[in-house]
Amino acid sequence: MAEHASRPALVHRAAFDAVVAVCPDPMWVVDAGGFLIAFNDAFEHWWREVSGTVPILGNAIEGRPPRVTELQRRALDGRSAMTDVRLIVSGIERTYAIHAQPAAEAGGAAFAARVSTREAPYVSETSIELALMHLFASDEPLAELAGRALEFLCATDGWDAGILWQLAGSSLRATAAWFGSDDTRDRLAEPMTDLRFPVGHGVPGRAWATREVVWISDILDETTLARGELAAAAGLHSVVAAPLIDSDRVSGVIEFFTRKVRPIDDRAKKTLVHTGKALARLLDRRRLLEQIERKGAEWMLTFDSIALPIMLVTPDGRFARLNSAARALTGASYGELVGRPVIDFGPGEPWKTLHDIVTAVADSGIGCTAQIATESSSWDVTASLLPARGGDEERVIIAMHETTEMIRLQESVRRGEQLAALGELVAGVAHEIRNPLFGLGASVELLEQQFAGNVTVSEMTEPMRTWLKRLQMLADNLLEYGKTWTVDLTPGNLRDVLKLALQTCGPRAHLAAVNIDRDFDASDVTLLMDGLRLVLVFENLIDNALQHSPRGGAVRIEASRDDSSIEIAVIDHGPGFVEADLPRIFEPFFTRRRGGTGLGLSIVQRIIDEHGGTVTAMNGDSGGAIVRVRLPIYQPAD
Amino acid sequence: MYAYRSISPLTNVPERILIVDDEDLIVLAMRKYFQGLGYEVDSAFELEEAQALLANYDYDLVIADLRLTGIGGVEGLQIVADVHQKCAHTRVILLSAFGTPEIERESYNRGADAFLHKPKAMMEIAKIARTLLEA
Repeated sequence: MAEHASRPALVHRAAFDAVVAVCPDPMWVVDAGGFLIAFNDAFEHWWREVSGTVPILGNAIEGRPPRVTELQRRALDGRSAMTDVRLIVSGIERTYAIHAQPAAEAGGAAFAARVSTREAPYVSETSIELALMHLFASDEPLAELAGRALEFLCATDGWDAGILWQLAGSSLRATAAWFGSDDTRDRLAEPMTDLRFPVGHGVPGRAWATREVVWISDILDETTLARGELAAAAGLHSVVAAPLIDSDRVSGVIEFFTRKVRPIDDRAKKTLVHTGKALARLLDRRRLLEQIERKGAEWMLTFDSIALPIMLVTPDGRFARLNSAARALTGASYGELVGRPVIDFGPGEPWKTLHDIVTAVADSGIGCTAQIATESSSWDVTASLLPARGGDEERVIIAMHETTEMIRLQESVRRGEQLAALGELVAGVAHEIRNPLFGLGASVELLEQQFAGNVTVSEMTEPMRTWLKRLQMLADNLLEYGKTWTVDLTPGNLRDVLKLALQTCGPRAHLAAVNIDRDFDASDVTLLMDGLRLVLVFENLIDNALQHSPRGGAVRIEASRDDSSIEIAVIDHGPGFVEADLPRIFEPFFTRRRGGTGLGLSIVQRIIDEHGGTVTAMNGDSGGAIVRVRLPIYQPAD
Repeated sequence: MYAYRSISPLTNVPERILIVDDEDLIVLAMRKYFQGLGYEVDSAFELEEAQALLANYDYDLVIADLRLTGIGGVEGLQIVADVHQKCAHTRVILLSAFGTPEIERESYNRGADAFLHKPKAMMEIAKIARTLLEA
């Protein structure tokens, strides 16, 4: 005390300052000139809200409302005064009673503001609802919106923390919270996340069970509160919980805390009931909206993931909606398509028929099916009418089922059957021809034998032999082509096959003075093959190339492979294929070469087919013909 | 053309051939052709006729068509069997316009010396005959 006694004024001053500092009411002091010389934390906060400026010591307080100016003038004149000022603080209009007390000797004055209790500080229920609606009009995620709604409600009614509990299964779970200070947040936020309140349990559970506002003035009085100690530790005393009721159903609870011991206030309770209902409606509407949006998104995703082109078209033939398959068909983007007439993409198919279908369906109101074929694709099209409903116009829904592949397969089967029947016939005829050919040949040889040395006879038998040879070749080719063989493929080396083919073709190349470039080392792979028939394939291809090569020219045989297949290309520098013939060169009897049977390439294709490969013919960039044979490489199961 | 001898160098008598085919014009041409080469030639149009000749005469070579009746006939195989039963030194050439690898194998199993696919040049058949007879 002795120590203190030496500086009693200082001690009292410090104590006084401390009291002023913690006082929740704004307090400030100005000197005789009206410049700020002291203020407490509450003033700083309050003034920032009132004027939007930060109070600075030594400055006049700026932007003050006229009535505050008037009050200050009177106080500086030496009179104490009081005035009511309506101010908007934290977005809420309140009436403040401001007291002014002139300082005795030094001049200047002290001020204190306090929320007037004479006029109701409550914000009207309608304004709260309007403000909440305004909040919920935003696109922000629900959790964020709820947080902001809680902040608003806390600010409006003077609470320090707010929690939104929503029904999840059979208990309440915190889905959003707002804390007035970091300290409160630190103490409450984490334990909150794991809390669940079944009906009747805890303050939220009780609000749920009773469907009424539960108001506890001081948590410390309540022994049943699970969070009592926690809240007390956070310096919170009063708690209030109001049920969120929408259409007679409790969908959640809002709960507010404050540091003050706040007595039960019927007016505030009534507002809370109303707020609970408004919030329940808004949350529910928002949830529905999100559900609809999600459903819409799901629907769009589903719609787009369907491989069939689907389009919704207006009765006057304009695109209204298309899934991605349909967009791909048009080759245009969604933005370019909507509102554009279907016929714009015509006059070709499928657009012309689609336009006609839309018109027919819109006119008759009856769905229909159609088949559309272009050069490259074909579709089965189903169209039906979606009647007008609500504000929506009627739509024609078109689903296109691509049948290109199916038709191709059908044709391929039909072609296969035809070929098999044709093959049988051809082989039969070829066999039957062999006997007469043998007889004819024998007779010609007999003639030559009997008239040996007779030049006239040999001049006549020579062409006979040539024709016989040609007939025999035709019979052999027909037989090869028409053969119905049992596919008996065994592993074999492709390079060996090529070497065998070249043994046969080598002498012919020599005769034709054509060089053969061999670049087929890559063909050293194992295939499942009928070796002799594969040799025939390459003999045919190389022979063809030789026959079309100019003397002194070259035929190139090259191989290239990837992981699963090998390609052999036979390239010549002759005149190449007639471009228009390319689609037909594999057809039987199609030939432009005099003396050819027109079966060579057909036989090649049949044999390659049997080996699961493909053969394609084209012209080289610098002329000449290229035939590529692609065959699968044998990959044993292990 | 007459490069082949048709007189057996051992016995100095002409070698004897039997030609069997159901096509008379083929038989005629072959017969004359081989006669022209100096062989002594007998011929038959059907199985029984051939069997009768084989029973009575000794041939150096038989040239037979595989099929002597309608579709699917393989009478030639029977001739091969008969020849082998009777006379081991007689050579047999089978000819066919319908030969499959299976029938060809079967022919060799039964003892045929050659299986030739029609049409085949007479000159080549004569060459093969010569080779067989001299083997």
